Amino acid sequence: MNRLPVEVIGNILSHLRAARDVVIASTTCKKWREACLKHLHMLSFNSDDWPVFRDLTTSRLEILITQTVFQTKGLQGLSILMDGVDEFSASAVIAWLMYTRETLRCLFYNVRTTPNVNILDICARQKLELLVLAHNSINGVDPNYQRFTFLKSLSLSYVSISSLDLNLLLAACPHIQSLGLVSPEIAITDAQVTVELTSQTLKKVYIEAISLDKFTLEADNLVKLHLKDCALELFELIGKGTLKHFKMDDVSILHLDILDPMDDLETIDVNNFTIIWSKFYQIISKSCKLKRLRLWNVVFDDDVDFVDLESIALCFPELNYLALSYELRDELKEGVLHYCLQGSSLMKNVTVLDLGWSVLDEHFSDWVGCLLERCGNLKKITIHGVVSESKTHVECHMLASFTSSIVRLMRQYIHVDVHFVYE
Amino acid sequence: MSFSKTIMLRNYDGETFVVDEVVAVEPQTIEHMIEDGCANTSIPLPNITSKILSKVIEHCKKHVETPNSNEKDAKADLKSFDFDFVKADQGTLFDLILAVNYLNIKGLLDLIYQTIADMIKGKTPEEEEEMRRVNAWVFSCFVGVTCLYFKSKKI
Repeated sequence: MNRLPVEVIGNILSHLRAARDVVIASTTCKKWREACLKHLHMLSFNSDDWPVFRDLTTSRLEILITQTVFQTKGLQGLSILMDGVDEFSASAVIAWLMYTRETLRCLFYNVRTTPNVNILDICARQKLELLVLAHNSINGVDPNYQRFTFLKSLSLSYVSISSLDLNLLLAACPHIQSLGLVSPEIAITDAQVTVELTSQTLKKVYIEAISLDKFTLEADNLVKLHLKDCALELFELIGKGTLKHFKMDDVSILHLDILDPMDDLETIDVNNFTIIWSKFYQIISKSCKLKRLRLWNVVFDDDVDFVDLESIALCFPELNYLALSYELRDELKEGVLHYCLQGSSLMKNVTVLDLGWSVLDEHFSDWVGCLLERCGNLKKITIHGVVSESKTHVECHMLASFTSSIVRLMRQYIHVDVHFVYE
Repeated sequence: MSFSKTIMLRNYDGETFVVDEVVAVEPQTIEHMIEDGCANTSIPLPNITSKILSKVIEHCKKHVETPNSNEKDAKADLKSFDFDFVKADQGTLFDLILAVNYLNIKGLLDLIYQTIADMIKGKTPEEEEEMRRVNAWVFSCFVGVTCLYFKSKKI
């Protein structure tokens, strides 16, 4: 019968990833040992993989990693994600990176190094395609010398870097497609904290936990943009209408400037955001290809300026998923219903609805009724409500009459699947 | 009515499989043969049995037929198909590896590698030795028996 070639064993063992599993596997027989020494592609030291990692001292860990890494040849992926470790010594880290840099395609590293190691310097002009870095500093980027020709995906978390260096880093990656920034420490050079990012190749951008006076993103090929937990005074987006997915979670933006036609938008997902509907509507009204629209936990200002369903129905004929959830004060509820009843354009393609109000009362059930009328081809509706822990008699009564009115309402739409989600 | 080109694959048992070209080019080896013009009659695959070849074709077909969308349903469907696909016995899996390695189908190869790695994961050296014993014809080098002696402290 055939024997599996040693390269194939190496491929299988590379899928083990965790260093401990690989080392144990290498002890079973000579062929497996050879596979681990010469044909291993991926090695991972993750504090979650083995509880003993957390009991070892830092120097023991460094020795363990050095001994294991230095026995491999041609490693393509190295992952060192040690949450319990305060810092590794620079000499160990430099050794691991210099030993593997010629073949390394992906690197995950999240431990502080003392003194700081310039990882970009060590890995530049090699084969790196994916870099995920955390808890380190990047000081001084020189795009001419530090070039990452193959880098497609870059993720920086809790990294300290200046705004200029961040842009230079993007320039040093001529084929970068995906950028993730989580809670960066942007060094302040002016009175204002500004970040300007420019890239012709970026397709995906994810920004989390950043607070800036001004953020400018110029990306002519951007397809997906996701902001989370950000506080931006001014956000400028410049593009050529390639954006397909736009998502904002817990973001506060004082001035939103979008110099991008937004023609190709397919998904808009906004959560916990204070918006002025007329302004926001102006930005998205040209996205006639929109398939999914979610405005969740949006707060409306005093202005009587609500999401009017008529505009949604007319501007987005291809919409197949609509999710609306409002935080409303009592005085504003009549206004919302009024906007609902204006016009009667149908939303023929909407098959799934998610609706939520802060209070489950008869205004909400009337509003649900409004939407059901417009969505003739609806297949599924989910009603979201908040139920307080201590229910007064009045609240119980309100919940009961709300439930009754929904039951009455859904009798007219028996082909629609109803779900309830209460928090 | 579209005319879809078909390719004939002749295997180890002499059986011929007729496949749509779009499915047949999933394996890179076959794609290159077609490009080089060697596929005018039938493509010989002398080292693959019928049982394995039909499984491979089934996998290629499923992945070609599922639209490459981001729809949750399509992805979940493919995932469940893959999950059931690798529920074969170890012997079949190892036969599959050799065939898929020859045919060079990256997605399927990664799937099988990961499946076998998951089987190995978390086992002690003794358990792995047990696994090797059961599949002795694959793991056929036994110089490592010496280190196992040390492990079981038989000295």
